[in-house]
Amino acid sequence: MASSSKTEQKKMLILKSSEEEEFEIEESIAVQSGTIKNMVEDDFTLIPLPNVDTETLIKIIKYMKKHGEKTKSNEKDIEEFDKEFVKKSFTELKELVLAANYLHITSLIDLLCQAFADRIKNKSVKAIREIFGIPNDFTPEEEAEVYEQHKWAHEEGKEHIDHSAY
Amino acid sequence: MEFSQADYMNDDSEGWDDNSPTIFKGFSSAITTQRHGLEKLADYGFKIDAYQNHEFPTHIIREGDKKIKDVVKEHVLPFLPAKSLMRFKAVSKEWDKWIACPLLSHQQSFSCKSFSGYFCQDMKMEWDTETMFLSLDHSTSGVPCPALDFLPEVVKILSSCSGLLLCQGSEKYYVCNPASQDWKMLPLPQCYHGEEPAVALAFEPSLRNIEAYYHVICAFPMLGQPIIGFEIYSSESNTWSCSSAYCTDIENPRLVGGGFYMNGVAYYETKSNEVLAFDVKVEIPAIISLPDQVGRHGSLTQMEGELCYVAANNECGNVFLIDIYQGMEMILKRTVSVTLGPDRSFTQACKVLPCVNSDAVAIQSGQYIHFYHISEQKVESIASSFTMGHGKKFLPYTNSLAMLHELKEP
Repeated sequence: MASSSKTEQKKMLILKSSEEEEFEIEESIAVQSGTIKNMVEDDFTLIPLPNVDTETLIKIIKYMKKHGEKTKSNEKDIEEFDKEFVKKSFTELKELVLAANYLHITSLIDLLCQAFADRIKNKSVKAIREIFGIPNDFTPEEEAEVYEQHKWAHEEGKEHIDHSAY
Repeated sequence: MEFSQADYMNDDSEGWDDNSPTIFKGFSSAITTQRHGLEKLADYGFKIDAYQNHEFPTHIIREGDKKIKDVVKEHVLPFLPAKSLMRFKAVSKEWDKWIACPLLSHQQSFSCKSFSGYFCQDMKMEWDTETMFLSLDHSTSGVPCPALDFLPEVVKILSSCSGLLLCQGSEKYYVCNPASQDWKMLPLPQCYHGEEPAVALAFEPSLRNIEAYYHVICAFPMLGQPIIGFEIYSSESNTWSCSSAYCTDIENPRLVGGGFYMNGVAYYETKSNEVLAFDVKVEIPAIISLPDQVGRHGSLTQMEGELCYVAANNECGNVFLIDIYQGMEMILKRTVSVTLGPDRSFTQACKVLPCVNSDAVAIQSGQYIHFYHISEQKVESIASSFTMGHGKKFLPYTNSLAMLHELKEP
């Protein structure tokens, strides 16, 4: 039971998904989540996360583990990881951003939201409503007025020429 | 409130609904999974006390109930460029109201930093300056009136920074945000700035401070002497003040108009190979020598957050050789050879344009402006409405909703 003075026994936590699956994680890595940090301060070691399903929790743990080992030398490596991390479907991203928000992992929220912004910025109003399930509560007259007020924002303008497979 | 053993053990964790606090679900699982011996059980025992003495944080429960559209509204919208945001006002009444809110404009001015395109002016005729906005992507970035007609007079654009433009009419300076069409006329300066003033607009949106003030720094030659003086305008005090610092080291004090600001320093180009730098905070000038061998078609620019000088040459066909010099010492950091645009047999004159918040090198050649992204090694091109020639100014612009704050009268 006695641990040697050379090796520190790392405190482990257990995260439990909504589907009751448990994952062991080092406390020092898990506290990247503000929510988990609060619960650790209240002496929880088993953290139930009923809002996060297993698949999403696995991805989040992967992110936290990668960012937990951040040093000055592997910045590029982490940048690459982040770039690949957001190459996911809208459905996956939605689940991830809800979970990141619930878990209060600021860097992940920013990463996911920037990715979302880049993917939705050129979409139409109708597409936005569909993707996020937002009902249109304007009357036809009100909607026409909003369009008219910001007509310039709804205009496409000239196409730009793209020479590369962008 | 007392937790008896009976309550949570009988809790049906299957049929829980959204309104019951998370506390119960956690509880039953804590007791049923008795695993690692006495220590773990003791942990759980301690947790029971914790539940009794502290409330399960309600703000955590509330975050869990948030729907995707709420999270998007709160966290994604600030990353969108102004044109997309204005378009999305038509999504719903809630979004219409929220997007008009100063708090969102403030968040967006801080979060949306991406390079959106160029404001350009053709200065060939004094009385007829044609002003345009060349957008990198017309569906996401733009302004209602690129010609800046909302200003009281025709202006020349002198400098741009974080979504704001510094312009000059026949006499007066104006600072404006072309996306929101908010503008302010500056008081007249005390010193004479010259026919084509070397002025830089300095503006850094701050997350914490909704009232982020801007500065205008003018470098002007003292008449008849090889000395450069500086005059600084602060929007906080709404006044100009002359700096006690002077630059006497400059060989050829013929400043080119305009200037740009980056990381606390204002930079002014001269007609020779020198660049005048002025640290705004401590008011200390310095001279940067540009590499001798480069031609006159390079440009100071910002790459990866650092000051760079980029020179490019069309070697043959559509092959360009790009040299990137970095830092105050202007050390050659990288040379790349890249193909830009359609293949052709002749070479063309080209010009490097400045960029901000981007890892791209911008080169105008023929009818296009090509953006070569260094890290991804990809090229993106837009049509340039102007043909090559002197007297055309390209100012990099960020489609932000930054607000102009001024000192409120008591």
